Amino acid sequence: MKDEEIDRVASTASIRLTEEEKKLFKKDMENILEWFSRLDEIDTQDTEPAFHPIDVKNEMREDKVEESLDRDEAMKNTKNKEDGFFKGPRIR
Amino acid sequence: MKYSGMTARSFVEEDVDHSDFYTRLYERMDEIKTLGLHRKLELKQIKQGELNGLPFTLKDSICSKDDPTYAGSKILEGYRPPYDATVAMKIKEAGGNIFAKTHQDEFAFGTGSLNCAFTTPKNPWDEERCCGGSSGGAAGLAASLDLPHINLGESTGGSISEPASFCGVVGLTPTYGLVSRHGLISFANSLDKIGPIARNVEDVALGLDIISGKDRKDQTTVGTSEKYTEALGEDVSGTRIGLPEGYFEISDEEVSETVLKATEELEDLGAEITKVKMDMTEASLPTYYILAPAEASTNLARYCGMRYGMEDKIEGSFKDYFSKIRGKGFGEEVKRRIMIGTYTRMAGYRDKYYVKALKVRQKIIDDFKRVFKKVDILAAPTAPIVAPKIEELRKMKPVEQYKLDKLTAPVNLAGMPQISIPCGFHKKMPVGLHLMADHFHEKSILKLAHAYENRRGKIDYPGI
Repeated sequence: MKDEEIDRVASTASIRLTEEEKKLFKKDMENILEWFSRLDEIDTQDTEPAFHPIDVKNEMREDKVEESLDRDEAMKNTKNKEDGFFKGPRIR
Repeated sequence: MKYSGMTARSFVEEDVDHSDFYTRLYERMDEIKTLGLHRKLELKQIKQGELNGLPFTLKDSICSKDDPTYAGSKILEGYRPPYDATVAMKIKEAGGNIFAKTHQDEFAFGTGSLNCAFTTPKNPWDEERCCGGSSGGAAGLAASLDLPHINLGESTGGSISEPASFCGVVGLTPTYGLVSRHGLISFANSLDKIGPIARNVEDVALGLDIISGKDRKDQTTVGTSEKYTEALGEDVSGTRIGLPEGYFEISDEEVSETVLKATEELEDLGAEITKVKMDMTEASLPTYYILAPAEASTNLARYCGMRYGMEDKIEGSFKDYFSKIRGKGFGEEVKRRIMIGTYTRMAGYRDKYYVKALKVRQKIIDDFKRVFKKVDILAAPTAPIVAPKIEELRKMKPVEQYKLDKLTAPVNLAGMPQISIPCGFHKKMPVGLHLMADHFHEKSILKLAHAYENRRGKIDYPGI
């Protein structure tokens, strides 16, 4: 695994890593990915992917307004708010 | 009133003086504080009702309104959910009281609860050893708190069974979808299951009676809920038990022998024992370690320093701000799994890893379905070893640590119910017998575990 690849994964996952962490994860991931490769030997040509262990049905509810969280309650876990809105960093 | 050693079920049935009981409970919680198993919650009012005020603990990843809920992570430190998880609501409505949160691996990523950002839970049988994980605090508390109560844990790949085995208590992981996940801080949506941990089978059955059922807030709940306590005491003769090939061979010899001896006792109870061959055991662990981090890496995208949890002065671009907070707030194992989970879903690798693992998962489910046509229950060791020393576990490389899940990952990928029950000791540490069954056959494993427990007799828990 190349250094740039570690940077690309970290950037996709939006995590800032230290140089030591990059080195550590590079080694670990190489090790773990090699272990994953064992699955290559298993024939899955005629098998469908199992997204859930049991059958899950999509259920709709009636499109009706229901009681929801109070706005102040929903916002009480942050200091970064203004006029009833959450405040976040600039999108650019 | 003598509360010590009383079961949760007796507590519900007896007329108990609550002020007296809860004073005693909180004193006891202070006495066992040094084990680092729990975070105490203040009860504003002691509820009674149907459950007669029965005390409960929740794993730190299960939300309860206004109570600190951190999922073992610094990134959620200070978080007080504005709502109850469905299981918490069910407990409260039935007249139970949630008096503590139990410590766990950060976001449930671990097998020894060593990845908890706040403390390292110690095993009540030997404080140098770990409690197992990720629901380590819950299992440790069940073993050390000799007063009636029920703990709720959560399992993604074995996080109820394994700590229950390491701490010598009973842990039940229900079928995927039997218990609502609404209000559970997600690890992997297609794998997460909430379940009860207690000292005896009766109490985990009671716990399941309370928390199971259809929930419109969780689309994946299936809605077949039964009265599980009613199955206890039924005849178990004629139960067909399979010993899966491979499970015993990779375990420590003494652990295997202890579990085999327990299966002989099941035979004395009238069960029929046969050996069964399973084809997908070896493939299960890498499959699990592809799928669980892949799902986790998307779930954990929500922790970005906004709305709740760790925050900073908002400045710079969103990418800079999010990356900084996440770099600071997540622990090492969380970062490792997010990196792995992101990688295996990335363009170019998705088919090789993620989609491949989903297909292998179907083969694992088929393997279990095939075996459950021949036998009713599978019996095996829960974990290949007894609880390791904390320092030994710390020295292990990630893949070596992951291998502790070898016997629990397959059944968890298949979403099938399982119970771990103590069946003896090795190195003075408890060994767990694992009973597994087909989807929604909770009653079969509960009644067999109960019959075994009656035959085995009481366990002398260590005094702390």
